[in-house]
Amino acid sequence: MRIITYFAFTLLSVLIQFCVMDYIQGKTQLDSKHIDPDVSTPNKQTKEKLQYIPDKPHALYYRTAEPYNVLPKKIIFYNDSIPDFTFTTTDNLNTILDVFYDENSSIYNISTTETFFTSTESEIVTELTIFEIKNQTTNKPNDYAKESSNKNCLCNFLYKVCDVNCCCDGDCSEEEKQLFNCSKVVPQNGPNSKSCSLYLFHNYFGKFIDNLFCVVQTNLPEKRKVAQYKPQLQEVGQYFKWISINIPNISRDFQRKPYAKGDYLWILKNGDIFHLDLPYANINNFCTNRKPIRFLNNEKIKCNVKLSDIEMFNVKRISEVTSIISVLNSTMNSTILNCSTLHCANWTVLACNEQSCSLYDEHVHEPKCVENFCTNLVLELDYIFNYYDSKITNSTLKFYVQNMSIVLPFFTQIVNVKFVMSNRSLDNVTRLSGTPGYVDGRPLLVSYAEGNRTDDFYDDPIEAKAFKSFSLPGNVQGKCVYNNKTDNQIVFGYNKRLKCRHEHKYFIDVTDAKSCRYIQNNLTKALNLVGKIFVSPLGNPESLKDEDWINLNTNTIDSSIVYGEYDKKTKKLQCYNLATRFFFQFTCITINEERSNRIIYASIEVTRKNISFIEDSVSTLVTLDVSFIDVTKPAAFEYAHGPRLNIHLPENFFYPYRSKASSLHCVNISIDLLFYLCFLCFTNKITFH
Amino acid sequence: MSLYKLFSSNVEIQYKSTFLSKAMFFTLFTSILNIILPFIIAQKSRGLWVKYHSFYEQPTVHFTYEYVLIAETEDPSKPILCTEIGLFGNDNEESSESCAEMQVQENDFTGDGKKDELYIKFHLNIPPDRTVSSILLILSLDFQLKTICPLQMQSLALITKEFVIPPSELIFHGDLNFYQTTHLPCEWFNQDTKYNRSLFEIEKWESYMSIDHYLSDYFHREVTTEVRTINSRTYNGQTDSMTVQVHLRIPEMQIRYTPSILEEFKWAWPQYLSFVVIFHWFFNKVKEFIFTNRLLMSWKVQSWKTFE
Repeated sequence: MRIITYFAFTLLSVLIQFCVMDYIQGKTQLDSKHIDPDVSTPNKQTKEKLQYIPDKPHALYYRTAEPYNVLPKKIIFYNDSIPDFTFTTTDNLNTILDVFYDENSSIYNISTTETFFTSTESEIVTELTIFEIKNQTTNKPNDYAKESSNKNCLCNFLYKVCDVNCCCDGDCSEEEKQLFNCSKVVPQNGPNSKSCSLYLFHNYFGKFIDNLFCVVQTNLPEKRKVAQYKPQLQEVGQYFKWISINIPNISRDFQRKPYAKGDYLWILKNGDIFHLDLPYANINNFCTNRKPIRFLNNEKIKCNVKLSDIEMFNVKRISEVTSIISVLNSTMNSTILNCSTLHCANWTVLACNEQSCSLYDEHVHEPKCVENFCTNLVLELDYIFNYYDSKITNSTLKFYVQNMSIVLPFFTQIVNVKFVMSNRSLDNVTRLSGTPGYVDGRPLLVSYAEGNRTDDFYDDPIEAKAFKSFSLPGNVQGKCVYNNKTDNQIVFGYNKRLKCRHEHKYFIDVTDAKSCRYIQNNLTKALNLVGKIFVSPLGNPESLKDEDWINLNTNTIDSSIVYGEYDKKTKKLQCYNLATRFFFQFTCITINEERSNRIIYASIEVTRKNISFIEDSVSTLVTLDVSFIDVTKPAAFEYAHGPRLNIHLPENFFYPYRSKASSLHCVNISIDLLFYLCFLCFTNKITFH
Repeated sequence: MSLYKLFSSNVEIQYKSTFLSKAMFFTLFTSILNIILPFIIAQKSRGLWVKYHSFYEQPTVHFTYEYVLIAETEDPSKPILCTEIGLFGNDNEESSESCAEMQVQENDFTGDGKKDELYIKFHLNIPPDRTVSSILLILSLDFQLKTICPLQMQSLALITKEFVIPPSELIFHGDLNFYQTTHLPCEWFNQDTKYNRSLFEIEKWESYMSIDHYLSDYFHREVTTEVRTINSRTYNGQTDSMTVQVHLRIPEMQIRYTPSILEEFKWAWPQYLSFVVIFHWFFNKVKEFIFTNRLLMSWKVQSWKTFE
C-alpha cells in the first residue's frame, strides 16, 4: 500500500512538473535569441498580424487569446489619412505581447497593461495563480478608460490633429471617436471568453481535456524577467542585402606569353592586338551577347539572329584584315608586336556546300540577295585552329554556304570552334567512336570492304570517309538530302526515326513496268545499302579480325520481289512490294562499368508498300528507323562469403570425460550456422556502395 | 458473503535435463525458433525496416537578392532584362533603364521568426514600340530547415507567364514547395550544406553563361524548390509601364528523410516483439504438452516435494 501511495505521489509530482515546465517553456520561447539573417523587413501590417493570433487557448499554454481581445482596441483602427502603418521590427509584437503576459516587465508601462484588463473584461474573471495561491473575483467595468497619452498608438500620425479612424489618438475628442465607431471595432467572433471557466463552458465537451489547464493570469517570480538581446551591429554582414555580381575582372590585355588553356585568342591588325569573340545566347535563343573564344575550349553556339546580324559578315571582315598570333618562347622578351617577333597564322577561308569544300572566292561565293531570296548565305561556320609545336599553325574558317529564302525575319546560325592538336586537317584523321567499346553519341563504324576490313578502315582516310560511318539522309523542306554531315550519321545509342521524300533524279519511264525495280535500286543506292555492309562491334576496331565485324544483312532488301504494272487509263505506274521503310536494329551489351558498349548483333528490316507513281513526279516517302537495344543484364550484388571463425577450443571443453571427441568440427559448424543465420537476417540492412 | 478472486499465482514446475540430451536440443531448437521465426515473419510481411520517414516543417526562407527578370517583347532579340548578375549582361544600360523599381518584403505574420510570405514587386518601363509577350522571373532563395534534418541550400523560385494580349500588370499568388527526388540523408547535428552555394556562382561563368544551363543544373539537383501557382491575374492593356507583383507564400512543407539505424530499430522492435510474444506463448504450450506428457526425458522438480 505504501508503494502505491508513493507511486501515486510521484505521478502527481511529475504531472505538476509537466504543467509548470511546459508553461515556462511556452513563455521562454519568446525570449530565445533568434539570429535571423533577415533584413529588410518589414514591417508587418497590424491587421494581418492580428488575423493570425489564435483565438482559442490551448492546454498547458499561456492564454494567447487575451491579446486578441485587447490589442485591437489599441491598434486595429484604420487610418484613412495614411493607408497602412507598420511596426519597425518584428520584435515589437513580441515585446508588446510580453507586456500583456508578464506583469513583472519593467520596460513598459504596467499601468497601461492593467488598463487592458480593467477596461476589456466585462465579466467575472477567475485568476489562477501558480506560484502563489490566490483566487479572486473581480467585477470588470463596462466603460473604456480614457487614453491619457498617445504612447503606443500606432495609428497616430498627425501631430496635434486627430487621425481619422484612429481611436487611440489622444487628439481626438469623444465625439470624433463616436464618429469612428470605436466601440464597434473589437471583433466579437467566437465566445467572448475572459476566463477559463467561460471558455470551457462555451466550448464543446470534446476539448474539455485540452482546455483543462487553461491559464488566464499568473504572477511569475522576479527572476523570470524577459531579457531583450541587444542588436549586434557586427551581424549586419550576415544579412542579405542588395547586391551586384559582376563578371570577375579578368585582364583583357594582351600578355606576352605562350597560350595556356582558357586564354583569349589574339589577332593582329595593323600593329594592334584584339581578341577573337563569337556571339552567344544567354537569355533566350537569340544572339544577344558576345563572349571571347578561349584557347582549347571547343564551342558550339546555336542562336537566332536577324539577317543584318549574321556572323559571317563580321568573321569575313576579320579574316581579311587580321592574322592570328602566337607568342613564341624565343621571342617572349621582345617588345615589338609584329609578325617578325610573333608567329602569325593567316586565315584559310573555305566555302563548303553539301558535298565538298573549296577556297572561298569572293566573286563566286559572295552572298547576294534578290527580292526575298539570297544565295551563298552562311548560317553555319567553323573556326578550326591547329595547335602544333607550341603555336597556332593554322586557322581555318569554314563557311557552309546555302541558298535560301529570307521571308522569315530571323535565322538560326551555328558557330563551331574546334581546336586540333595537330598540324593536319581533321578531315585526314581517322575518327574512332570509343576505346575499346562504343560511347554514346559517337558514329557507328562501318566497312564496305570484302576483306581486311580493319586495315581498310585505318587506311585512306580521305577517300573513304563517307563510308566509315553510316550516313542517313537529312530532311530539308520535306525532301531527302544526302550528304556526309555528322548530324545525319547513325550514332551509337540514339534511337531515331527519320522521314523524308526521296526524289528520283534520273528519268524514269512510268509506262514501263520494270521501272519499279529501278526505283527500288535507286533508293537503296542512295541510302548506301548496296553490297555487303559490315558493322564494327567496337568503337575502336584496331584489334578486330575480319570475322569479328558484324555483317549487316542487306539481303532483306531484295528487289527481285518488286514488280509493277502501268495503268493506261489512269496513267499511273503501280509498284508492288516497294521497300520504303528501313529499320536498323543493333543489339549491344555494356562491356565495362565505364559505359563502353559492344554491338553483338545488327540487322536491317524493311517494310514494303504498294505505291503508285504518276509521270510528273516520281518520289517516295522514305522512313528510316534506328534502334539500339541494350541486352546487358542488370548487375547483381555478390555478397562476400562470411568469414570462417577458426576457433580452437580445448578438446575437453564440452566433453570433459571423453577421451577422443571430435567436438571441434561440431563447434565450427554450429558457429558458422549461427553466423549465417544472423547474416541472412540482416542481409537487407547491408548495402554496398 | 461471497468471495472474490483478488489475486492468483502459479506454482512453478521445473523440468531439468543434461546438456547433451534430446530435451535440451528440443528446448534450444524451440528457443532459436522463437527468436528467428518472428523476425522472418515480420520481415517477409514487409515494413519491418522503415526505409523513409517524413516530417513537417515551415522552412526559414530568405531572398538572397539575386534575381533575373526577363520580359520578352514581340522582338525576341531585344528582351527587357532586369538583373544585377553580371553574367547575364547587367551592363546593358538600355535594358537596365527599363527596370525602374524593385521592391522586396519578407513578411512574418505569425511572429515566429520565420517568414510566411515573400513579396516581390517589379516596375518596368516598356518602350512605346514594344510590348511584353512573356515573363520569366528567377528568384534566388536561402532555404533552411532547422529541426529534424538541418539543411541549408540556395534554391530558386521560378515563375513564368506568357501573355496573349499586351499586359500592364501581373499579380501572382503562389506557394513555395519543397521537391526532393531522394530522401534527405538526415544526420543529427550535421547540417546538410550540399547545395548551399549560390546558383549564380562567378566560378561557373566560364561554362554556364546561359540561363538554360543554370536551370538545367538546378533540374539535376536532388533537392529543389518549386513554385505552385495558386492564382494569377493579368491586367491587359498596352501602357508604357508594367507592374509585376509576386506573393510567394512559404507554407509548412513535408520533408522525407532516411531514418537512422536507431530509428529503424525503434520501429522494428515493437513489430518483432509482438510476434515474439505470440510465438513464446505457442512454444510454451508445446513444451508444456511435451514435458507434462513425458515425451522427452527430463527430471521434474516440484518445489513442494522433497527428494526421497
